[in-house]
Formats: sequence, C-alpha cells, structure tokens
Amino acid sequence: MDETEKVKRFSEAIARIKEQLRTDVVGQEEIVENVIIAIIAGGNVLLEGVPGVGKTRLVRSLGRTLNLPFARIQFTPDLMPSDVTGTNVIEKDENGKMNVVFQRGPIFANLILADEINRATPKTQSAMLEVMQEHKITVSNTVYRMEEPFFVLATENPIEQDGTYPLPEAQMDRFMFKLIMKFPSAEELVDIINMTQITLDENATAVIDGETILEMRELSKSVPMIEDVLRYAVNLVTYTHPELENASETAKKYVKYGASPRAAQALVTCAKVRALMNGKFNVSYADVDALARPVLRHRIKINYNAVNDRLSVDDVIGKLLEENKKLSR
Amino acid sequence: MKETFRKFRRAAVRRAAGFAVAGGLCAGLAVTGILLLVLKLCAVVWGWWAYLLVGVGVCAAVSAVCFFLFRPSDKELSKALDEEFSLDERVQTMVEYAADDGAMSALQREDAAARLSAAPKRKLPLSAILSTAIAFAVACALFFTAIFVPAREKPVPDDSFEFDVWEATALEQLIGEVRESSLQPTPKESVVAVLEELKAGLTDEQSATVMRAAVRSAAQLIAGIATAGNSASVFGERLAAQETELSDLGDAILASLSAYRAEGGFLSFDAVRRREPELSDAIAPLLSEGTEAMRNRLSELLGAKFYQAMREDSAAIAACLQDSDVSETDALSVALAALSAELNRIAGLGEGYSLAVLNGYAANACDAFTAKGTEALSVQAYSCMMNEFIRNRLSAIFNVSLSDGNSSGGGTGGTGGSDEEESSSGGGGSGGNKYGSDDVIYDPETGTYVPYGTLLEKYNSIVNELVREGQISAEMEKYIREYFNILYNGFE
Repeated sequence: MDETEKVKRFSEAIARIKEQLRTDVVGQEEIVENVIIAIIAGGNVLLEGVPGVGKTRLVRSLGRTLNLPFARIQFTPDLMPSDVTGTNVIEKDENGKMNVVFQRGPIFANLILADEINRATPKTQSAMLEVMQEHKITVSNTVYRMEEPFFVLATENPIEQDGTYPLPEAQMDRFMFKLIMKFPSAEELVDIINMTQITLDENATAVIDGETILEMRELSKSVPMIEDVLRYAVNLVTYTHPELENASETAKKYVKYGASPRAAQALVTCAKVRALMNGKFNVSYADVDALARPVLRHRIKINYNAVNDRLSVDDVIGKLLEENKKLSR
Repeated sequence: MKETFRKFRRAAVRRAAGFAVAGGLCAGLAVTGILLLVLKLCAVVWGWWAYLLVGVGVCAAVSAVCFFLFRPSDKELSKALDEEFSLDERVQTMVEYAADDGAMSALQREDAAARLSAAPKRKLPLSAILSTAIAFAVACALFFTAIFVPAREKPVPDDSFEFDVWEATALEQLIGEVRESSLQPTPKESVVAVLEELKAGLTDEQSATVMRAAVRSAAQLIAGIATAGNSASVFGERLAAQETELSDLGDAILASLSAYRAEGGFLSFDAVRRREPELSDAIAPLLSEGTEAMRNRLSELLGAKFYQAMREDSAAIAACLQDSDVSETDALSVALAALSAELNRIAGLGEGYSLAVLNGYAANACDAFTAKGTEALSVQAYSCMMNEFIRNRLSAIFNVSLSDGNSSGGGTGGTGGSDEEESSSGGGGSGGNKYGSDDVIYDPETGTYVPYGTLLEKYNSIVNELVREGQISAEMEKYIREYFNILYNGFE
C-alpha cells in the first residue's frame, strides 16, 4: 500500500473513530480528539474531571471502536501492586501436580482506565506507572510485555483530595497529556439525558483494529516538520524554565519548575499526528499551539505569584505561548 | 521545486528589483541634490557630467546593494507566502523538504503546490508603495531645490594694499612737479592739496579696492580743478555749432586745447616742460586758420552785404558769449568780445571807407583776436596738458586705469594687487599698447618713470643672472623665459 493510500486510510479511520465516539460521548470534541492523538502517538493520558462527566464511558467506547480489549482499574488505598499487574498463584493441574501459574492482572489489556489513580498508594502508583512507561512488567524475574497498542487513561478526581496520594511530578511527566473534562453544557446535558434514557450501554462499534493504530503511528512519524516549527516547539519548553538564560519573562515571574524534555518530544510527536488528522502533510505552528496546554499543564509548577495574580496554569501557558510567538516567529 | 513556487519566486525577484531600482533612484537623486547644494554653497563649480556620474554611480551601487540585501531567499519567500495566504507552513515545508524523496514529503509538496496554485496574485503592500513614493518625492524635492538654489559667488579676494616707499616717493615727486608747473596759482594749490590728501589717506594699509577708488576720486577732482576755467570748450562748441564760417573759428578754439598733443608720445613732466613754450606757436596758427574763412567771405562781399555780414558775425560772436557761466573777465571771453565789438565798429563806419580799408580793419581785428586768443588758450591748453600728465602719472604709480579716452594706458608700477578692471599689461597689450613703446615703469635708480623698453634689458639680465646662479627653480625658469619672450615679442 503506498503512502497516498495509507494517508487516505488514516483520514478515513480518524473520521470513523470520531463518528463512533459521538454516538456514546456527547460534546467533549477536544477531549476526544486529544485522546485519539495520544493513542496514535503512543502516549498515555491523565484525565481530570468531576464524577459523572463520562470518563469511563469514553474509554470503554474507545475500546469498542478500536476493537481493543478494555480494562478498568478502580484505584483505592488498599489496592496492591499485584492487584494491578497480576501475581503468581499455585494451581493444581489435572494430574494433581502443584504448579506456579502467573495470574494476569487487569493491566493486561490494550486500553486501561486507571480510575482515581491518586487514591492508590505510591507503591501501587509506581507499579502502574512503570508499566505505562515501559509497556512491560517483571514478576518473579519473568518479563511480561503488554500487547501494543497499549494505552492508559488515568483519572483524577479534583474534588475529593482527602486521603489521596497526589502523583509526584516525576510520575506526572510520564503522561503525554493532561486533559480536563469539563462539565457539559446545558444543551449537551439534555442530549446526554436523552441518550441515556434509551440505554446506558455504549453503541459504538469497531471500525479499526490495533494493527491499524500501529500503522497510523508509523505513518505519523514521517510527517515533515520544518526547522523553524521544531525550534518553536523546543523554545516553548525551554522558556518554561526560569533558571535558564533564555527563560521568558512569564516563566521568571510565574513558574517554579519547568517542563522536562519529554514535553518537547510529546509536542513534536503529537503535532505530527494532529497535522495528519487535519488533512495536512506538514506540522504547523498552530498544531504546536493547540497541544501546548495538554502537554504542559501537568509538567509546569506555578509559583505563588501566579496564585496571587489569580492565574491558573493554563493562563500561564497562554502567556508563554504569546511570548514564544513574539520571540520565535 | 514546483513551478508554482518558481512563478512566485520570479515575481518576488522582479518586485525586489523594482524596489531596488526605485531605492537606487531615490538615493541617486538625493545624493546628487545634496552634493549640488553643498558645492553651490561653497561656490565650487562642477560640470554637469560630474553630477551625472555621481548620480548614476550612486543609483547603480544602491540598487545593487538593495537588490542583494532585500531579494528574498526561498525560505523568506515561502514564509511570506504562508503568512499572506494562511497556508499553515505548507510552502515552507515544501521548500525545506524539496530534496527529500520520501513519500510523505512528495505528498506534502503536491498538497502545497495545489494550495499555492489556488492562491490569488500577490499584491504590493500599500505601505511599501507609499514609503517608496514618499522617498522618491523627498529625493526629487532635494534634487530640484539644489538645482534652483542660486550658487554662492566666490568672494573675490580683496588684496591688501601697502603704500610703500615706491608709491610714496613717486607721489611726492608728482606733487613737486605740480608745484613746479605753470598752472595758475589757485588751481595749482587745489591740485596739490588733493594729491597731499591722497597721499595721507593711503599711508595706512588698505584694500586695493579702496586704494583704486581713492585714486580715481583724486583724478576726477584734479580734472575738475584743472579744467574749471576752461571756457574754450564752451565758446568753441557754441561757435562750432554756427552754420556760418564762424564754425571754423569754433573748431580752431576746440583744437587749441589739445594742441599739446601735436608731438604725440607719452606725456611726462619733461614733455610738459618742453611743450609749454610751444603751445602758443601751436595755437596761433589754429586760430589764424579759424578766422581765415570769415575774412575770406568778408573780402568777397561788396557794399551793404559787407556791412551786413560784418554785423551778423559780430552779433553771432556776441550771442555765443551770452548766457554762459564763464566770467566776463575770462581772457578768451574778453578776446571774443573785443573781436565782436571791433567787427561791429567796422560795420558802422559807413560808406566813407573803401572795402580794402575795411577788410584791412577786419584782418587786424582777427589778428588781434588771434594774439589775445592764443594767450588765453595757451593757459587753458596747459591746464589740460597738466591734467593729462597727472592722470597718466597716477595711473602709472598705482596701476589704476584712469582712461577717459584722453590719456594713454597705465604702465606697471606700485605693488597693488591684481585688478580685473585694470588695463591689461600682457604681451600684445590691450588698446594697441606694446611693451617698451608706450608703457612706463618707475626706475628707482633715476627716480623717474621711463619707458618700459629702456629697463627691459636690465631687468632681463638681472633675472638671467639669478637663473644661472640657481636661485630660481627649474619650473619657475620655464615661466620666466616665456614671460620675457612675450615681452620681447611685444616690444618689437
């Protein structure tokens, strides 16, 4: 299949995925698009939203659409790492012999919903985050690889913070995106109610498979990106560091810690996917700008000045984007 | 590279060339205008071709620099196209990945080319057009202002004048000669006073312009003084205007005033002294000739016609004496009055006398007039001669042209600076002068003014000696030889 065909299939696949997801998820177009980008780019997503906005439904629907096994892990403080990864158990075989058999945990799926990950203990979080990063686990010296594509969508409840274990920055950095699922509008809520009155089950059907996702991932890597846009993305990340010489004025004033190099990698990789999704064959400044908040909001720590000026992290990123436009374009 | 992009590139190059030429033109006009203005204000003159050369040179240089500086590179052009047509960096990617043979790059190029083809034609930005027009207008204004601004005239250097011993001695000598002269006491004193005043005024260092003005003023005063009692020109002109034989008498009277020029040549004081006693001998025949026509006519008349003619001549002469500013005691006026009276008396003698006797009386009257007139006119002619002498001497001392048509040109002398109004003293000379013939120079050894030719040999030998001794540079020697060649050629 030549490149033209591949690109055509890519565009058609994206359109079909979005169409299917719309049957189960009302609104949240940006969230849906960014989740698709993250899956194709091979990254994981941290989703923040109040209960009931459709986080689980989104991932479940996505699993049906992509025809990928889906697993939901509800994190609680008493959840153990082995509850996530699996453990060795002793089983008696048909001959009555005792064998040690590895019982796979819920992590052995392609799409994982790690619900309220901040409620689990750091130990359990680490086990989860390790598999997110490396796509493998080691149990009793045996390495078990996750089947690709492997995608984790973790959630955080922004309301209930009592008894939670906030993810450390180093762990947060492993998420490609942090998306904020907002409460639906009145019109969207009407549509949700109308839809769920009929059935609570997801209606999405499979339109592509995992292999196609992997092909799309490979294809997106070949999207050309000019030097200026690459430097634009890199500068955006370096400007977040107040300790650097070329730090932006915004960073010096409002940022405590800047983003890691993973942020730059995520920006470039996802920008290519986004460009291809929008029917373009090259990455533009607009692609980088559109992905700046999802990529940076969980990687930047704002300081008290921002709090004092009533600036959220998204506001600070907005200022960084404006400065970057002036300095880098 | 896609043809579409090449088309835009060609248009961009043309646009850059256009702006470069416009910029060069503006720069050329502005620089030429400024240069012209500055040179005009500094009173420096250049030929039109020099300005053309500068203007064209600046225009070409600035055009070339502007073109190479502002001609957009492919990267700059692609960026401009992306921004202008909102192509989301498609063209830039197409240009940067032009050499990439990947399938995705090829697709990208196709996509970019398709989008670019659909883009409208680029328009010149209004700001660029406006700024170019403004720059051109300013340059033209500068240029044409410089053209129409009048050039400042170069100030003529005003040479300073030093009244040194040379001029002082010569002027003192002139004053002494005037005192020695036979001018009437009153005009003599006045002329001496004018010369003394001139000498006193020139003792301080002054500009040559002031000196020349002072000398001319003094000469004019002296001319007025010397010719104040000049009744000959008054009566002579009146008589010359008659339609009878008396006009000959008028002409004779007028000619008497310049009788001293009979000899010709330069009028030195020696010449004045030599010619003074000869004046009467020169004037008497003139007057005698002047009355001859009248006598001849009378002798041909008979009877009443004779008497009538006599009375008419008497009346005509008397009429010429009327209504003039000349004093009645003026010698010439007295002589003419006596002639008129005598002719009238002869006309009243009646028929008791023969014509021969009457003609004899008339002849006597004419002779008497000739004698008295000669005496009177000698004095007036002397004044004119002295006036000319003084004028020539002043001209020679200060190298100032005082010619009024009556005097010869000035010679070299004094140390006044060069003056454009001065009579030329070059070879060939102006006014027909030749060196060594009419021009004079002050001889310090004798203290007199001598013809230039008598000193030329001495001058030349001294200079040649200096040349032989090596005191004059080789370059100057060339000019000196040429100088004397001109003098000698003119001298012949």
